Amino acid sequence: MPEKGIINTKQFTWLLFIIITGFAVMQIPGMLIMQAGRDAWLSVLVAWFLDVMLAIVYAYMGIRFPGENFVQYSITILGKHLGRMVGILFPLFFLLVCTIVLRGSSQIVSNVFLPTTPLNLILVSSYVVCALIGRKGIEVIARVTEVLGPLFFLSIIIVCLLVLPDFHIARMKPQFDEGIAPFLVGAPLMLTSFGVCIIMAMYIPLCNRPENAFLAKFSAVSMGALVVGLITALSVGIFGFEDAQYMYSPGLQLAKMINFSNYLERVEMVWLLVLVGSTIVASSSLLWAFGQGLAQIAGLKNYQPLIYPGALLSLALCIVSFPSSLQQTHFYHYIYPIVAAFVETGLELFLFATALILGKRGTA
Amino acid sequence: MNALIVFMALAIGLAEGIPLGKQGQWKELTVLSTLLGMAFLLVASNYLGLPSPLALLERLLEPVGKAIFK
Repeated sequence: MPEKGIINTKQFTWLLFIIITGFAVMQIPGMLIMQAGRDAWLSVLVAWFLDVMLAIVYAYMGIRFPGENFVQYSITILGKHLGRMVGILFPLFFLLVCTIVLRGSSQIVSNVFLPTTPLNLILVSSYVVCALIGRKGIEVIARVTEVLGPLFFLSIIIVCLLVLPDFHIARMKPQFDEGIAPFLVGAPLMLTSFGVCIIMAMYIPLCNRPENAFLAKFSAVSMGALVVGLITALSVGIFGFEDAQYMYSPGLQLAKMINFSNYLERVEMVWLLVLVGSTIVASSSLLWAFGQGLAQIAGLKNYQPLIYPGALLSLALCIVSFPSSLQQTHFYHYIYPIVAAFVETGLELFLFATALILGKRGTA
Repeated sequence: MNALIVFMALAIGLAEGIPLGKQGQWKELTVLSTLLGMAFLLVASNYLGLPSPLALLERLLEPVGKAIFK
């Protein structure tokens, strides 16, 4: 049975927000600060603008091919064989992102919560939970994000407000000391993380109001950019960019800073609970998109039997490819942005241009 | 860990594959087996010391990535 779930615009927004933020808030601020130094927050701003521009293309394609996601409209545009070859890249990309997200969040859990527990055990537990949620379908994931999304957003805003007294504006100066090149190069790094929300193309056919897709994406990416921008700017303003650039997760370090007269402390535990919950839900959504996309490519009646094998494949990839967090960070920093730019921007613009030139439209 | 993944692949294959076979959903069964086979191949190649697909991708794209990003 193909996915029959229906989501509303609010759920659509929170689904995207959880995916963007779960992915971007963990490691990206540190990498961005390494790239753009004190101007890192400007990279977030530029990436936000570019992502909104890209969202217009995705939303337009969703309306031009009603009832079809990008896996399906690649077949409509390019034909059975070439369309399947292009279309399969999207589910594979989601599987790669799922691998990176779960490896990153498991590393944080291992570092902070369970330092003596083997990392592989944390990974296996995370994958089991993700696969169980992913198999339940999009409606269940959407309802979970409706609860977790606002909690996650609020927790980050509260953390930012609580660390604000330690913020020194002098650490943000001088801006543009190396010209505009650092933050312009940092923008694609950030954009490829925001770009994970190309998954919106999988949600558009399931949304009760597909015409609201752009609104949902705009709201989600704006909230995501606010959160990542705040964490990036505060990390620079509190730790200085010299230290912040080498932090695995600057957001976590910010939460650790909170201590009001020994009365309010260890806030990072609460924040991490929400973060880990969010990354697990984001990963289950990515696994669902992988199963759904692959089932459509192969012309299957049911996507559900593919969720557990997808999770196992991702787990195997994770263990084989990233035996240490250094390798995952290296891949995420230097390789992932190129792969992501190709899939998120290159492929979609290629499909968009081909649809316009060949005059292809959806039939539903 | 490799042994655990092989065991999990077998368990998933039995739990998902048998109902699919009974319902005659051969296409689903083929894709399921392919995915499980890929997971098995990954751990087998790791056991034999062969590079993973992501390591190959890394070798291919690393010069580009390092040229663009600090």
